Amino acid sequence: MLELRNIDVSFRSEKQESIFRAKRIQVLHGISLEVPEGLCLGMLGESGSGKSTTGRVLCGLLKPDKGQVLLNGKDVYHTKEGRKALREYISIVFQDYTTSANPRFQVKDIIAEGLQMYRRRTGKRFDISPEVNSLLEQVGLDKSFLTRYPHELSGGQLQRVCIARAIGCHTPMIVLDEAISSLDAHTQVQIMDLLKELKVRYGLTYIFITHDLTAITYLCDRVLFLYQGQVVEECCVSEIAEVKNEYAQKLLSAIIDFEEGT
Amino acid sequence: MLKKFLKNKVAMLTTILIVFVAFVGIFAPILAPNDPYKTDILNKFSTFSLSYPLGTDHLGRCVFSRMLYGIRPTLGLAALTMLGTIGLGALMGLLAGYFRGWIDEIIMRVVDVMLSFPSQIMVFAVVALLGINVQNVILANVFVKWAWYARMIRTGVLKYRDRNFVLFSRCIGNRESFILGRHLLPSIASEMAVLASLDIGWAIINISTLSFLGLGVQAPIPEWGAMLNEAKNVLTTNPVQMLAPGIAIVVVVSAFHLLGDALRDILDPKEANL
Repeated sequence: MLELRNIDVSFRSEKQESIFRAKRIQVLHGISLEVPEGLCLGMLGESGSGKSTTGRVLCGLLKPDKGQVLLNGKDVYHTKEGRKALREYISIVFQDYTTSANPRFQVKDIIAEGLQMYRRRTGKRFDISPEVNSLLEQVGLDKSFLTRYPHELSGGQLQRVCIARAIGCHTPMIVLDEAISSLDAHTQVQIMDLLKELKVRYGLTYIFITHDLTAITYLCDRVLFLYQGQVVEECCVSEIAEVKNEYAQKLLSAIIDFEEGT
Repeated sequence: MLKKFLKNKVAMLTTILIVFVAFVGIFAPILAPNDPYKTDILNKFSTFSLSYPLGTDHLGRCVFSRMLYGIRPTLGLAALTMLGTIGLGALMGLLAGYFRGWIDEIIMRVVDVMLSFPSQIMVFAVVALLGINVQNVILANVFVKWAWYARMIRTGVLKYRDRNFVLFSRCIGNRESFILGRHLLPSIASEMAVLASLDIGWAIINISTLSFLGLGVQAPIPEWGAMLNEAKNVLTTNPVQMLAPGIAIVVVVSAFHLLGDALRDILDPKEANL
């Protein structure tokens, strides 16, 4: 189980008024959350609410100012074993597919990177290329994609490759940081169905960061509402209509109004 | 990439010229009509002839042969200088740009100090300090120029270190050597190639300047800068003697500069992505 306890994160402000005392802007205020295994946790919030920052803290890329990240009770940022354990526990799919793959790598190299890590971590001996083929097949792409470069793929295809890469690490948890937000509606549904299928097949845990309520209700079991760097509400998706927090209600009604209006 | 390179006329022509010059330098013993060290004082300042295609100098040595042999130290030393500079600069730039923190601070402050001295004076100072010697000339050039490269490469690394593919590698805990060697170095390689081809011209001129001033390659060895120095002494009596090494330097340096310009056009990502 992955757990955040009272996480504070601040960034150095671009506009500095004094030379000696750096002014900082706090973006996360005491975030606490738990991710039990096998769950799909949705994180919902408007842009600037700290969703992606929380995601970065979760996957070990950003050290928080205060608070602890605990993986099965071990502190991730302050002990070496914890850091190593997190790397073997988590993998990520990004929103911006244009930069998430090295433009100089072919599809097979992109996917192989995750597999190589898996191979090194477990010490298992297996051939990488048949594994790459099977992963590619699982995300619904055929062998002709193997030797293509990222700029020769469409957004949905490249996002599938990124998902294959994340799956290839064989980690129990995947953070999906707005992984479908920059795709069109039809492709979104396809990718979400793919994610659902893979979740069952590998018994994965997802953390699904998005601003899209419908995607959350489609995919997730629990949902967190983030507002100005704080968790304002947490509930099951089935009870989403009964949220008590003012902001969460406003967010819900705004989206529902918008959908009814169109 | 290769196709664009073949299509670019300037890049092709300059590359062919440079490769040709390099080969002529390598096969100088076969191609040169005369021994570049053999003096024939009675035959000095002779004009163009079949046996001496570019005439002879003040000691009666064949200018053409000396020019061919001169390719070796000129081009070779320049290449060696660039190799050293880029190697050291890339290492420092990668370390500073990728790891940030105190490593970055230390390296960049050293770079600031290095860059605050005028480079030519620094080269003279280093050569004067270490002694007049070919190795020391290269050392001095590397010593002065690496800081410049470190800063350029650090900027390139900063641009790429927060790209998602690097973040992914870090998230799943891939080795630093993989991230640096497979992700970051190839990403900045094209910018480095442009810089290097522009700067190798600088290195040639610099080495020739030092030889001209008598601080670089020493007297009997044929080097274009040293040849110019010799020609300078007989400027009034035999002005033709300075033409061969002078034109040779101009042509080769221009070729490198044009190649650098053309490479920049070829590797421009805005055009490459089309």
